[in-house]
Amino acid sequence: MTEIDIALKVLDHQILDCEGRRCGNVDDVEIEGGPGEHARGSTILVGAGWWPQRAGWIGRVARWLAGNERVRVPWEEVADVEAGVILRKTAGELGLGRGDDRVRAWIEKIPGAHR
Amino acid sequence: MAGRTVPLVALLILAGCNGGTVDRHALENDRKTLDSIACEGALVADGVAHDRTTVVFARVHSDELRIDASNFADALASRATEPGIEREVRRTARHAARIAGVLKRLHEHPANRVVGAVTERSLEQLAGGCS
Amino acid sequence: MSKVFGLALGILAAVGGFVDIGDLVFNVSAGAMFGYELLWVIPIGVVGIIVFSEMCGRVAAVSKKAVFDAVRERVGFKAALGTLIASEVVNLMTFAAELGGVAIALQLLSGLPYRWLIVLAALGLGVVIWVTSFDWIERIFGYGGLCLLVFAVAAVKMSPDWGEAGAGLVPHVPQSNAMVYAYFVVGLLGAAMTPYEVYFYSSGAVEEEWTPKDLGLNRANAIIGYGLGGFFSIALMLTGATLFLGRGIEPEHLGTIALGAEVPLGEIGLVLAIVGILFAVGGASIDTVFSGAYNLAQFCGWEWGRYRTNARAPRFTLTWIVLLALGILIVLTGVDAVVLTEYAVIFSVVALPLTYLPILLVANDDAYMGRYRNGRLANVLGFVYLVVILVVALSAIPLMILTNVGQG
Repeated sequence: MTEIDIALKVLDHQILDCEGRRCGNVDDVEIEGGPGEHARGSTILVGAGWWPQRAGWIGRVARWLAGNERVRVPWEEVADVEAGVILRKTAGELGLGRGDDRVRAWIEKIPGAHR
Repeated sequence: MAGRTVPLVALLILAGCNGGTVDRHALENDRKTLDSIACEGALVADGVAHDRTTVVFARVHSDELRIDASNFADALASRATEPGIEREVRRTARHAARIAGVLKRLHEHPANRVVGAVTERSLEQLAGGCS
Repeated sequence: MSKVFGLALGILAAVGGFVDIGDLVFNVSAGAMFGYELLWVIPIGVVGIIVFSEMCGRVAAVSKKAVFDAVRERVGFKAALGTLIASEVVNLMTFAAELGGVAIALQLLSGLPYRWLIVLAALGLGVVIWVTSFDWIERIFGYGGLCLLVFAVAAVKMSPDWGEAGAGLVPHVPQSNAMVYAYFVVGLLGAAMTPYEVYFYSSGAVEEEWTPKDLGLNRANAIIGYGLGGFFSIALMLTGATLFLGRGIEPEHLGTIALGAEVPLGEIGLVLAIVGILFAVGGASIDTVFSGAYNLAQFCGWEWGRYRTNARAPRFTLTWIVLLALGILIVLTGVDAVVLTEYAVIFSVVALPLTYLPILLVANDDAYMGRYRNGRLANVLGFVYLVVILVVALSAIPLMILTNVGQG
């Protein structure tokens, strides 16, 4: 069982899917394990919907602007945490990067979007 | 939070304006700025007189200066003043209007070297000398 | 070949970023008000931005993280969110000021109405960004901005008092008007060390996939690029000192600044000056709008990059489009671009510590930097400038209020 410094290596870090696509930052982490037990990182939380619990009222305002997305990524989907949090699957398979997908639909309508 | 922001906002507002009343200090500053406008106008006019500038630049820039002078003329003609300086303030307003008038002539004849030379002299006189 | 592009990145970021509307306004005004007395501030500002940029570039090359990635990871979510909000507000103000500057320069060249030119300028910039590859953007704006060299020629032609100018390079206190002098010190440093330059620079370094092998290039970029910018700033201040101080002219317009080249060099000087201003300010406006998009995208973890196609980084693309639109709206309210510039520079100074301190921490952090962490020189300079930046940030707003935005 490997030990990882979550605060240093995981929290607030860039998430990349298996194709190297950026698909969010680690907005929060759920840790399993009660008092006295060995702590285990169980779920990565991604999305502006998690911001209020990190930053109080300013997080609520930011969430109001950024949308209330809340995605849970089980720890098993994480392949590596060295150069960012790298996932085993694609963003689409894990429900990440949907904001980009939605906006892409409009951007693609403008000529020259694939330049 | 409110306890700290309200005094700060009040301070900012007070610092920014004194209710729009023209006091001696403001009048001095305004006069200096009017001299600056006139001297800058003289420089533009000199460029026209010596064919050193483009027509577009002379036309556009003299108009910007005219607008500045004109704004002063309007403001100083109508604002409330500190007691005792009202006549000076209104005189300065008329002075600003004269500067605006000369700049208007330059704006309307941006390629005319004679107008350039004449307006240069007028503006330098209005500024009380520029160098 | 990419080393040449790498150096060109530095030139755009430097000429377009260093010499922007803030530098034009503050350097010429400082010369017009205080002659040669404030020349000493320029090298201090130049060294400051070199130190800051070099650290950001090194962090990008070693840890592969741009400024906002590093800020969010290192200082934590709440502080990073505060920094993000502050920098987005300041970025937007700066962008609006630059956009106004582009419109004014176009008006001085074409004579067309200012309000049309605001929209035209913004649409033009939008099209350029959308359609043109960034390498070409760098070339066009970087080399176009070099027309500002005309101010160096003009300054020399007006025969400054070189002895007095030399004396002005030595830091000293003023003989009169101490508050306004201090305000200008703050403004000049703020105009030299604008945060958007480092956001743009470090994001570019990540996109160019710099590695520790590029650290020499990083240092060269920073020193040559910003050194060139400092040289321009000196020329601008000398122009203000030789042409405007004696005539009692207070520069209130970009057109005034162009006169600095027209009087000694005639029509060709005038046109080169306006063209140089157009490209420098235009390049700066692209830098600022991208910086705003970079920061938001990096903070939120979105896909980003100017080398990505517009469709591959959709929210990043949408962000700069929205910022462009907001900039148009701000300028269309009729706010004076030069006045907006002064406010943008002052507020950017106040927000500067929020970015500088995290980068200084990251640059010293073993876990991020390994053996490339700050050496002794970098740390001495880094901490000296931290003090300078804090002093300047704390005094900026009081000085702005007390001097009535530099009017005295």
